[in-house]
Amino acid sequence: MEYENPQIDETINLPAEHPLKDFAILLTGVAAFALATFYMLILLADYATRYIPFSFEQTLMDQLEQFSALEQVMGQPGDEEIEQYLQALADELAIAQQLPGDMPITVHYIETPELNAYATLGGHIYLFSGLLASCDDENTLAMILSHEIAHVHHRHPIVALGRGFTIAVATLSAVGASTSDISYKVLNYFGLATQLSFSRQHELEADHTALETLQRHYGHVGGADRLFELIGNSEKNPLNTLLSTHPLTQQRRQNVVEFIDNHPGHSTPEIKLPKWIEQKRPSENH
Amino acid sequence: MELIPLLVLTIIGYLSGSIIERRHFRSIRERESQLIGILTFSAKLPPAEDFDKQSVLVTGNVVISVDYFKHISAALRNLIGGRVIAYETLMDRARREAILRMKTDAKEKGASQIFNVKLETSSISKGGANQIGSVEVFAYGTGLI
Repeated sequence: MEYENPQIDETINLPAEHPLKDFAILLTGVAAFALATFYMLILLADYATRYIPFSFEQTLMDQLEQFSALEQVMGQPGDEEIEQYLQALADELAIAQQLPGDMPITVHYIETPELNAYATLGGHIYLFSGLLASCDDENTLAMILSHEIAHVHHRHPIVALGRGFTIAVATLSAVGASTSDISYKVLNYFGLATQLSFSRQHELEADHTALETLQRHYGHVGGADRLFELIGNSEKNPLNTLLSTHPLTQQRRQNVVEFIDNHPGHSTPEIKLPKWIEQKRPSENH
Repeated sequence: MELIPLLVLTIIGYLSGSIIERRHFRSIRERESQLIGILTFSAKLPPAEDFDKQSVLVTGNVVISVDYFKHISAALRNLIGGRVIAYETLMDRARREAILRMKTDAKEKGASQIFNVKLETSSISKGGANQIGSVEVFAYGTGLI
């Protein structure tokens, strides 16, 4: 009997499809699914964080400050008298904004040349001396403070934290980090609680509430648009969260200008900052 | 940022992996036609007329590593299910290479037929998290001289 081993047809075992094509399809599919899931989770987080009581934010921040000494990370605490002045102004603006009494604002004045201010959990607002040095009048300063108070008022910090937190946990779960890894990294993330970034919608909402606050407090909104002149001068600095991205800044400026046009009376003189502040604050270096 | 090393490894894996694979397939086809005269059978025993022939154990063994591109591709496939195309070519190469080495061994020992051919596969570094594994295929049979 004759035997033979013929060459086997290669198409039986070898896929006809190019490996890159297969890879591209897989990657697109998985990425699309992951994005959709993330989006759903973020929506869910946005919805759920509203039910976190403000007192929880305060407790969280009290604990954080004990552990990581946040202010040291950002710079030295600034002049106490200036801080008290800012606190008093913020308290007045909080009343004008009808901020609920159980949501107290705490202003921290930080000695650092950065042109920035931001609001974080528990009603804490940080104002950098660099930004104060650029303000010529109380109205501009009030716009900045009202904007940050409005973030607190609308609970933006906790929503932003909830989002960041959700994304962090989802990412870590997706890459298959172990449970201990996740808790460790999430704890680390809490350390960044002050680095929250607000969404475009949050910034616009805060601007609008701030303008209403100024209108109620001063009877006019003059000086509010000067904030954007400061922004315009410092857009080179990519670190500024208050200043955010260019198109957003343009839209914010436009919204503010529209608001000013619709609310006459802005010719009312603006209030100069007290003389002693001008002497105490670091001089402008640009 | 964390994605950059991953991307670089994947590109390197794809480029080097596909060059090596193409060369390997070319060499496999060449040697398969050279060794086509050495017959392989899965039957346990040779035909009765060959019972008086001398027998010898012939073996062939190969280990092939997975490249990073295949690894990622398979990891993505793991999420969805279906044919792991990236590993199919790898297994095909390993199987054919092992048989070729067994045939070469048979040729060196003067055998022209191999009965009771069996293949064993195993993966090296199995179970380690995020580890790039290798596949081993071992072919053996009884050569008739």
